[in-house]
Amino acid sequence: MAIVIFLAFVGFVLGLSFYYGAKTKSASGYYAAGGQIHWGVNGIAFAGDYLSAASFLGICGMIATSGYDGFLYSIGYLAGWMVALFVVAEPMKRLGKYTFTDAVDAKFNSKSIKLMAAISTLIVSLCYLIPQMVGAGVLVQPLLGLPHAAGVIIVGAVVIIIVATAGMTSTTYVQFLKGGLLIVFSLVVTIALLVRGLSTQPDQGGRVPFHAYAELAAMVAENKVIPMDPTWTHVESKVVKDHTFVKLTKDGKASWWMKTESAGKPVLKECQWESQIPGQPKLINGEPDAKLRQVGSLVAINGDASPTAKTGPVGPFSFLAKIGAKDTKIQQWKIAKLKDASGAEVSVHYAYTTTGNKILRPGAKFKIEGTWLERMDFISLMLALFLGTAALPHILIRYYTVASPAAARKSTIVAIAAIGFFYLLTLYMGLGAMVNGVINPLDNNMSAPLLAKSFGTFLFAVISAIAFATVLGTVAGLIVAASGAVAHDLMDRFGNIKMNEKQKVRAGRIAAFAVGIVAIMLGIIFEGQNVSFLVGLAFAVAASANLPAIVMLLFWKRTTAKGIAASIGVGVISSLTLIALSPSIFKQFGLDPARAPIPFDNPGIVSIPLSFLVLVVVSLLTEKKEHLV
Amino acid sequence: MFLLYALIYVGFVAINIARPALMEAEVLWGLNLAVVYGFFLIIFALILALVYNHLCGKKEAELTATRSEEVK
Repeated sequence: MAIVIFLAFVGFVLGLSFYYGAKTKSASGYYAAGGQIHWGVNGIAFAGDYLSAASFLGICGMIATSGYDGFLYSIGYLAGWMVALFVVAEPMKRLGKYTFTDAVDAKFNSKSIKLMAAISTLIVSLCYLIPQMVGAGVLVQPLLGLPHAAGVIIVGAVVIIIVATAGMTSTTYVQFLKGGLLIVFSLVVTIALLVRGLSTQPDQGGRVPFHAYAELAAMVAENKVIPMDPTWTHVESKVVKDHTFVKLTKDGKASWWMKTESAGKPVLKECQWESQIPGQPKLINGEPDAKLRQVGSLVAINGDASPTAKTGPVGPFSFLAKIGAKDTKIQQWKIAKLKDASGAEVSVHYAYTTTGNKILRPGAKFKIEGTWLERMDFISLMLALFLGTAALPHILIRYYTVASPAAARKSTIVAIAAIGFFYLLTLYMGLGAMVNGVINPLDNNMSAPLLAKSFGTFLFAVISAIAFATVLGTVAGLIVAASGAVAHDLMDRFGNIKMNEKQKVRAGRIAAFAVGIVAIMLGIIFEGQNVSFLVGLAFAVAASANLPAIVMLLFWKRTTAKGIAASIGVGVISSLTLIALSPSIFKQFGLDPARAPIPFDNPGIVSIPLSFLVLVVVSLLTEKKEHLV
Repeated sequence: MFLLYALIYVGFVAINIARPALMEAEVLWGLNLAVVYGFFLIIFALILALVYNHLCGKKEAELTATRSEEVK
């Protein structure tokens, strides 16, 4: 059923695309839907554009594993809309025609602005495309049973067809449809979650039996942790980051356990594990072709740790209050990597318990009580989320699809209402995944769809199809923005290549094809990263490169063309350099994160002020020259 | 209005950095400060947006009326 619903949805989206494709004859139609979209439709389409894979998959996944820290993204992303509403919406509509470059260049008609703004649009769009493509790969794995790369290629191909055939009109209606459905079905999942309530032995509504992880009483002898039960045989012990992992065998079957303590006595707790000897098939929990069990559950609800502890249906506030209570305990999972005596690379997944009050406050992921550098990283993230929204090219171009500045403002307000409501739901869906045993230990991005699956295949199929359309729609919007940068800004306006309306549309479509291919390759390379984290980085690049130019152009009369061009260039280069040298990127490419030259992940706190500073300094230095000209 | 919202947002970030333990404090209906402040930031954004739209709409209506009187 999942596949049928999925294919029906994709088929409908393609049909819509071909229908509007037949109508698109002009550049205005291709890039800005002729400026005739109703503000209400545009507002929900804004929500569709914005509620990308990062919001639905990434935020819910991060909340499922890191609690409130994932919700910080929801807060920051929504707060960013206030910058869009109060600072950017109406002036952008007044100044621009098709692209961000049109708007920042409206007063100057400068070649350097056209070049830098087009490059910035292209780079920000590509940075934002990476997490969407990663999300596509993640979705297709459980839905169609295809590998990550296949998911990325399918999305890339479908989106290229959508964009290359129709442009902004079809993208708008796809986003409208998907944005609306996403919010409605997220509400359905949340209500189902509240009706189900909380329990210490979640069994996905009876669909997946709860697995109680075993514990063995043990003793320490000759520096070995040995089970008291003689039917178990100790094979070896390994210490990884202060944790002792023990390999045992029983009836010839090996398994991994972690040493803990209970009432002052050593206890071995059952783990999940993957092992692989080079050149041989991978074993999961000792079996070939097996899958890791989904994880995440409550150990105690308000102090009640009995296996039968259940709340029954709960209200929205009661749900959060119970999970966030000091005497509620939640079982979470971590991973330790080691090499065993047989030479196999082993990943041991082990459980640990966190109290509810630590889950529903910041600090699980972002080290806000750590060093000043770690705190700065947090401030940097919140700054980039706040300032990034209003600088995203695929959001900015949506201001040109409506008829007037007032319609631009109204569509922003509809977007804030829809997006804000959805972000409130992310906290419920993320926490719901955390305590309902639906988290994939290898990839938290699928937490929300897997939570939906715990309520039945139909909801899973619908949610997965919507999530896939989410990726399709956002990628389509980004590719329209990027193709506009290449065909309209670089070829037409910067390069002065003379083209008629038909040729302009064709150039946009060819550019869309090329950008789509690059996006597919990047989506495959970045497999496994949390998509919301990757979007956070795209926000930082957008906020550094574009926002200083927009803000200063509107509010500082002495801004010059050279100042804007320099600011965009410095914003792009500084943010990308800081990201490339950050610990997360070192980790992504198999390098030691501790050796990363930049000790923090989020570049905004350095690159955004730097970009503002460069704009002011260069503008002051070139002010007289430009006035003379 | 933007500055007011920005200030409240800065306050949220500042509490997280300066007094993170405060975020655990229970403030309303069993919910802690982190949840209440986070929800408030989202809901207050919509309230401000609606107020802003109302004021802009009023001003636009006034301007339209003035222009049509000038034309007469």
